[in-house]
Amino acid sequence: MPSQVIMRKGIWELKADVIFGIFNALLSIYWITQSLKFPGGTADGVPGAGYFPILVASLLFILSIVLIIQGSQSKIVYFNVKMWSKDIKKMFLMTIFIIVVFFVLWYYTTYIIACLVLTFGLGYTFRLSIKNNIILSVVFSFGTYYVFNNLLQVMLKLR
Amino acid sequence: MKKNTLSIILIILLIVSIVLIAGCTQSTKQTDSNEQSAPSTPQEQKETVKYPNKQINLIIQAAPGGLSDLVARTVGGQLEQILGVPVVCSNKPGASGAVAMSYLQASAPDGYTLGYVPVELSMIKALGFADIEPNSFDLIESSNISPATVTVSANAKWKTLQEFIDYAKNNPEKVKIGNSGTGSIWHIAAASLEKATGVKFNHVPFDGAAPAVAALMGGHIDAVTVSVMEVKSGVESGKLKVLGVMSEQRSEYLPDVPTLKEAGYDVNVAAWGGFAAPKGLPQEVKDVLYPAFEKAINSEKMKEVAKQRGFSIFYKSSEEFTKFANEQFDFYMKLIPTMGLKK
Amino acid sequence: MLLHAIVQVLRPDIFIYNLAGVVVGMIIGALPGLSATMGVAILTPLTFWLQPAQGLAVLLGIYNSAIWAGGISAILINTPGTPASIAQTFDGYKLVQKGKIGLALGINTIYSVTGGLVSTIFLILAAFPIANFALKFGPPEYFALGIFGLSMMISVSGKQIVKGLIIGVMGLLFSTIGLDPMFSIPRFTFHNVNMMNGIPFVAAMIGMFGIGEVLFQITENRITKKITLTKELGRIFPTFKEFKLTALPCAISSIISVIIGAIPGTGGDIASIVCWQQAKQMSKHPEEFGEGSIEGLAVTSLANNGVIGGAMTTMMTLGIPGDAVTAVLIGSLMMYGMQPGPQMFIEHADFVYNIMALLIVGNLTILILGLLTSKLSAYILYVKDEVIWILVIGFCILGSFAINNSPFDVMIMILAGILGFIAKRMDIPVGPFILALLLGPIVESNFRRSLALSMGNHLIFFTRPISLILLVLTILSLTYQPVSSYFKRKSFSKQTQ
Repeated sequence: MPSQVIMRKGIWELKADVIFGIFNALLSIYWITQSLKFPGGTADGVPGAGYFPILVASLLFILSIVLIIQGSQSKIVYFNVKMWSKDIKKMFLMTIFIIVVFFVLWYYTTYIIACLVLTFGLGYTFRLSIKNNIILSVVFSFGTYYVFNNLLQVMLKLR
Repeated sequence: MKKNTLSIILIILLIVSIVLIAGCTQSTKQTDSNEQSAPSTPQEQKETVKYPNKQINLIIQAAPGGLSDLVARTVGGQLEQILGVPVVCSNKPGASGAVAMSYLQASAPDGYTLGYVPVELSMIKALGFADIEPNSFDLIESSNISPATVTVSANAKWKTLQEFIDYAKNNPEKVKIGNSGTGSIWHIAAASLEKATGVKFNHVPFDGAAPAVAALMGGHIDAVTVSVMEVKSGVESGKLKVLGVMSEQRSEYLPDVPTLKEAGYDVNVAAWGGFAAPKGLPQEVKDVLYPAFEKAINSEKMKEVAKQRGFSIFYKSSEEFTKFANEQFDFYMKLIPTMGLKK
Repeated sequence: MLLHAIVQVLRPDIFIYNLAGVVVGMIIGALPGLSATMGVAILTPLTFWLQPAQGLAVLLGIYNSAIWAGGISAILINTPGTPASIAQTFDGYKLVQKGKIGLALGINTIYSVTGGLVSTIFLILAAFPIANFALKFGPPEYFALGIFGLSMMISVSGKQIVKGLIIGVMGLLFSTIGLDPMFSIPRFTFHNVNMMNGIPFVAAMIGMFGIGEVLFQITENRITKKITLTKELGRIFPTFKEFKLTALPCAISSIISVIIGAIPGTGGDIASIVCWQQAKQMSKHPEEFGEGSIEGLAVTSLANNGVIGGAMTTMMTLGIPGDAVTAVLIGSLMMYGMQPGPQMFIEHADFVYNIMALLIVGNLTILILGLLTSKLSAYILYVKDEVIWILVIGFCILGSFAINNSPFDVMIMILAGILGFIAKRMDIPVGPFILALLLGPIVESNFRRSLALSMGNHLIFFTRPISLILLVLTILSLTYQPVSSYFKRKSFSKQTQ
């Protein structure tokens, strides 16, 4: 189970349930205010475009309140980042960073370069041996390029 | 604490960059559309390499399994044989084809990115989905057409179109008429019929033509105004009957069914399709591409496919097609706002 | 007649084409994002050079095996390979964590094949009655079916009912993004064409399960994990006792899945969700569902392949596609000069029997191949976790891009992955979100479409028998568990007194 009992204080020790609840409450309020602007239903009783979004958003609002109340009473901390080892934090952040780099490279260069960077970078982050890492990234990048571009007719370019 | 803030920053960075990339795609499209009126750059004109020397991408604006996909893939296959380079067909469905057409519009006019354009090309602007019109492209040639029908269940009480319209006249908003989505071409077909005959229908939009036909077979609605092609198998199996065809001439697949014009109503609505390239195609590319398309569209294979699926070949040269698409564009720009679609 | 057809298709060349289709389908199905629809669509033009029987052997092989193989990745890496295998993640992955790897893979293969065969038998025996029943599904019935499916949000949430509901309703909220299904009004699209078709369901699913799972595993304390995960394959076949346990729910599930398959527009994803829900209600051990229940995995494996016979029924008898794959298959049939419809059963009866025979042969090929490759598939667990993470991330990106050739879908996939990660860390089940994203548009559009048919009269949902039955079943399923657990508690407290 990922949940751990509260130990220290800090930004991540804030109750995630409450934050999630507040986020959803705000989301539902935004949804309702926007939906009110949609044209209404027809004269013969067909509900308009805003009907369903408002219904769902109201339901979400009620549930968010329940979650906020429930969460503020519980002592469970989900994102106890301080309990994660340094390694894990580094890996997590690097993974996200490399995916971003992949996107940028894919857009400005070609798929193969981006994919090589993605796989090699992830392999480095996850501490694969250099040899395995090179084999994996080369095989994956060129293999997927061939299969997707040539066999599956996927257009592997963004521009 | 520092690490935590760092992680938050990174996550925010990720989201921002994702949004930025999305934004970039949008903004490049806009700049491209601004620049596209300029003729081909000198670089391209200097190019001495013969035109098709690498893979051509053909963008299809719909998902696999439909008419657009079928026509584009058939023509693409023929083109591959004629031009001798691979023609890769990729589906980019979404927003009545606006996604694919926006992409095509923003692509380089080098003849390596081409696209299939359906009747929606002339409708999207009027519907307010995207700022696309026939003049945004170099239209290559048109390829196929399938007119709308007025189709009812085989055991319906109406035997002729006139009986159907008379009934609808006496029972305003009682006849439930299915279409393939509000603002779709088949919705426009029903609305045009309404306009020409002065009746009032209860329009029921479905998510595509096939579900509408299924609902008609199940007796949930009274009629559909989808194409000949989509009701052909239902008619052959005796579950449906066609009261009228919305074209100038009778359909080759339903020779016994009168056109609406014969019944005295001037309604012509059809789904057509053709091929287009980004605006500014160099002349030497056109010289290769246009005859190749002409050959592919009029090939035996296309005729065979058309016969099997029930659509008609509709070949028009580039100029004729451009003229036709613009006429349609003007027609829909006038018609669609009067249909009372809410936006 | 059918026997004759089977003998006819038992030719070495057809067998080889069929095997090729099954193998291609297995790869396409197991990779997240690549669906059976895509496989069939891409290979259709290639099969025109073959005889009809050979070509259909390839295409039907892909169709059947992609759905089956989607379960393999759902079971082994908790990422559904095709949307149809989404419900298999509920129990399959838990079984693997319990060390019953072989059994999970064996159940997937055996019950998938059973589903395929049973639904083919339905197709042979009762094609026209099933198709006519499917046509009775109008907008009110679709609405009721959607509501019934949505009620599963509660049963899949387990003890976390509020959390399951909140993420489910969030999914419903996001499902309203895009063009409004009745009046085509853009909602929450921010004037972006990509948003007009709404949140791409498959991309969101891949992200939530795939990327979400990888990020979750990265942050998992890995010392504890090493101990819990055994990598022994274990037995593949279920015991007779287990088999008996699953017999009744499977019999019911096969009927449900054939009908859902036959209804145009609904496919394996909805069928397996509805069947899982149904089996949980009937089970003597509902608490095991979602925690590695053999019944749960069996019915979902059966249901998503059981859809195939139903979808083929509608396609062949009426010429209307029952799901996305059959929409493509219709084209292939026409290419071979067949016009699907009642005429085809009369004029080309031998061809129809050929299709049925190919479905049977294809399923038997899957059975053999599936059991033989169980060990091979399970090797994926021997691969270092880190390598799996890289491959999952890579294939999630490629898979989500490949569906529509759209970078927008990839971004949605990544965002869904981050949401999935957050949800997993907070003990929030992600199933309800995906379920809501899938069913939300069905519920909304058919609710409003029904009212358009009835001119605003809400009674339309209760005056039609099928819709009424489905709604009553929904209410029963929502009340049954709390009520029964209340009575259990009551009797328990009596005993202790």
